[in-house]
Amino acid sequence: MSRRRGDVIKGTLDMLILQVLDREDLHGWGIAKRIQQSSKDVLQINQGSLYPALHRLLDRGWVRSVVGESGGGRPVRVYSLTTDGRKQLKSERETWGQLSAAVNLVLGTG
Amino acid sequence: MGFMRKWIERLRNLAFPEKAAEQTLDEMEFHLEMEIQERVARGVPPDEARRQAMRDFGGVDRYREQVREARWGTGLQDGFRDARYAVRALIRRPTYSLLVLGTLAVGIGATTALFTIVDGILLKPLPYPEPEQVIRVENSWNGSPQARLSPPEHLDLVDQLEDWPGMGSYTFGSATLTHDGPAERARVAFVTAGVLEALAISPAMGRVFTEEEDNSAAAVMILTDGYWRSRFGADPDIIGKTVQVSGFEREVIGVFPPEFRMPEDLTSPTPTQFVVPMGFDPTISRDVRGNHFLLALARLPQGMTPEEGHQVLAAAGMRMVEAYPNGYPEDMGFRTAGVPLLDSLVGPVRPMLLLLLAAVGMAFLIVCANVANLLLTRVTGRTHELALRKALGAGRLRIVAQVMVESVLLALAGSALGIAVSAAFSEALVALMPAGIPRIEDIGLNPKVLFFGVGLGLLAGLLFSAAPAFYAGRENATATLKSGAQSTGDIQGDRFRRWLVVGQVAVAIVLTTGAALVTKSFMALAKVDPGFRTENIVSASVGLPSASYPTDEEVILFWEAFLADAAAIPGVTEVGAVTNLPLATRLGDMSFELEEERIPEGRDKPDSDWQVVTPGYFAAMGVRLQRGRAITSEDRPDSRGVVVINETMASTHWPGQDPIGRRIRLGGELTQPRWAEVVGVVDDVRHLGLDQPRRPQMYFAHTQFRFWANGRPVRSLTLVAQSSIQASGVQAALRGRLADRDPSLALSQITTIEDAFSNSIAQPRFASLLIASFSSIALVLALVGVYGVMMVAVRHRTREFGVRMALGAAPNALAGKVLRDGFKITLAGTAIGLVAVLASSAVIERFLFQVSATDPLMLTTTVLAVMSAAGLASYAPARLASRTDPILALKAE
Repeated sequence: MSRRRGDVIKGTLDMLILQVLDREDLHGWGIAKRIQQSSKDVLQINQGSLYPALHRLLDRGWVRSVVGESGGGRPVRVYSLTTDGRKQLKSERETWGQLSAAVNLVLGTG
Repeated sequence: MGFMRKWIERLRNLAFPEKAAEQTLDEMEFHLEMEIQERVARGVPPDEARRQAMRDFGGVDRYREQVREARWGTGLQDGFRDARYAVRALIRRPTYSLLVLGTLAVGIGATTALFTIVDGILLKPLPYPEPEQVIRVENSWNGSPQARLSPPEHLDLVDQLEDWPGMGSYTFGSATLTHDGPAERARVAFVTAGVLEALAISPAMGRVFTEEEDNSAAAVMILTDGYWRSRFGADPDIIGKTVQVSGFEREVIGVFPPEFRMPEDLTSPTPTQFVVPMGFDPTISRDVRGNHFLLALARLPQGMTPEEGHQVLAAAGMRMVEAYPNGYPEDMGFRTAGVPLLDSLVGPVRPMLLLLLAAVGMAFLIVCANVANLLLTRVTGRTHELALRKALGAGRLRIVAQVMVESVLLALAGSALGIAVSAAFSEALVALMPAGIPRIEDIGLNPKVLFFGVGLGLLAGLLFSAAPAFYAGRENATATLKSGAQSTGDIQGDRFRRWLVVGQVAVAIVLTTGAALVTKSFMALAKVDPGFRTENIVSASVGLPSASYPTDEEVILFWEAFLADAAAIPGVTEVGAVTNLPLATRLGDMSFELEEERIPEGRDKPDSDWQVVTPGYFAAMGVRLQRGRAITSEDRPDSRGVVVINETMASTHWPGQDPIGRRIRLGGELTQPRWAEVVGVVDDVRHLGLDQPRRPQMYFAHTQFRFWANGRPVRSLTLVAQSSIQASGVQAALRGRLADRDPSLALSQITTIEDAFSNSIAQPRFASLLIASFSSIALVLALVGVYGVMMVAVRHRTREFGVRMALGAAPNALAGKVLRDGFKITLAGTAIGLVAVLASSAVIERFLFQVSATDPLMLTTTVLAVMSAAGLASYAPARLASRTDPILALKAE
């Protein structure tokens, strides 16, 4: 499969989800929408990777889920960040900062 | 906190996988709906919006699977699911499942039962502290591989092993005990103080005796727990009480703990009841080295191995030989040795048990092969299903795992059933076991045995599922789905199955040959003429306490009177008495000199087994007189000394001459020489067992014989009575006559010669019976294997046969082809089996009596039998092949 514009670089999706959940608790669709909006529609989140990613984060204890209500009044899983998740976000942000700085240096765009 | 939540979440998902999946599905549906709404809001018509959203989203099912796999514990869940699936699949095929389970239960049951017995007898440690430090001390010389010690040798060894924790000697006897009630014969152990130190045993109550009490033959006794309970009602105040033992008072000074056994009690059904000091005077002359009647034990010092201990003992033995050259002639080959106690007790039965274990192990291999065959058939039957699952995305590992889960489930259920079977089976085996097998009471289910059973099951599971799982995993999905019923798995499976069956036939040949040889050997043994009659003879022992029969005259008078009493019992035709009953007790040997041939100093004198008999013994026992006369009532204490010898003694010392009238000299340097004239020759009696070589034997008159040690006659004799009535009637009458004559006496070792005879060959009979049953089971299973593999092969080749028939092949030709095929498999197996038999003939021969392991007649018979049975087993498949309907066969695809 060829890489399309807007595909999320492998490994960064977890960080993006954690970042979104750091601001507010959201359901799965909301998370996808928020990432899309924040990136000005550059980043398109594929549902096929979103839900496995969410369950991976649940499994590692970085997010938790409760049954909340959607805007339409139907019950839906709402995800929020745990203390461990916040710590993880912090370390991932640091790593990302170093990485992107390094990539920029190489590309001469810094 | 986070850690807890993480695991709660994981466990919840594991426990309620349906709920987790449902939630996932819910939120995906919600996601899809939101996407549709968003598109509708942008002005896309609802139908188009749904189509686009669905397209972008992809298959819900696939995502759900990915979500599931992202979670921890998925492998475990798969395992559970496979297990559930396997259970359901097994229940749906009850015949198949029961066949596999039944085969497994028999295989695991028999093997575990035998292991239970081997464990109880050979492996369990002896009931003494640090049992591996206890060794048996024994002598050996030419012709006597395991001989006992004499009192001077015991004293010398005690001196030489002073720095060892304990060394002592003991012997057994019976005594008449009187205490609150009728007199009773009891088994008593005479032990030196060193024996109690060597066994490191401390009493449960009271104390043990000291070395001083031992040396001074103090009138004390220690009761075993069992006797204390049965005879003294577990009297808590027993210590200090006095009891009449053979007419003398003895004080009870201790009671042993319940687990205490004298080593010989482990091999004998009659346990020791009390223990008294041996009472050797350490100051006796040590010049007389003969009279070997002591069993001996020693405890090795910490850190000394049994082998090192043996070296120390061997060196001590050499020093004795140097110190007393007259006692140990050069050509005697005298040695002293140390053997681990456990080896010395179970050594005699070890080869038989290991042989049985090997036999059952081979039967178990056949069981595994059969089960593997069944599983393989099932897997190849499922080729289509498995290929389909693979096409739908199941990984190869998942498929292999699924097949293995089913096998492991079967194996575990089989072990559980097998352990239940083995409990019943080992009980039955113990009940069948001949008398005198050591440590029967130690046989039983224990964690080691359970572990063995389950381990065996799992091993079987792995063994018989490896190949099917391999084929299942390798199955080429596309090829299978395209090719229809015939698949690569079928052909590979068939080839593998063939080799399994070749192996089965080979093992069956080894087992059947072994069983045939062992059975033939047993039959040869049972046909040996024991030299006496075995039917309608009752025997019982009586011992006379020296307190109530102090003089020689009283002893002789008692026996004459009691034998007359016994002869008067209605139905009793012949009565006599003897010191040692054939096949039941060992004999001592005695050296002698021939009148016409004096033995020079330093040369070993000839010796012979000896018995003391009363008039009537030969007639009562049915020992045939060849020439001369038997011992009669004319042989009085003061008349000419006489001896009756057996055929072997006559031909050894007077070959080709008439021994009647020759004289032998007994006693030698020990006492006044005593002359005995040969008056008769009788048939050889196989005293030690039917498989034992003939030995020279001599019989003295009870009235004339005197022990060299004390110059007194024999006090304990075994009466034998031939009768025309029931043994139990004779025994009851004997008891009554004895009570009339002297109520303080009791009969012991009441038995019939028939029982003694049957006990003497019980061990080989037991072994041959068991091997025969294992080999029949194995043979039947192997035939089932041949039948199964041929049947499956024919089914797989239905199309081929159909084509051949359509092209004009005769049905008989097809049947012949199948038969030839079966024959090839059998032939290959037989050849391999025969090579194995010939290669191991040296080992097999150790278990055989008068039969050669390479006996051509036996080998040919077994091979022909197995091959014709295998031919029969392929008959049904051959018929099936000959009845192939070409039209049906070709349409079936």
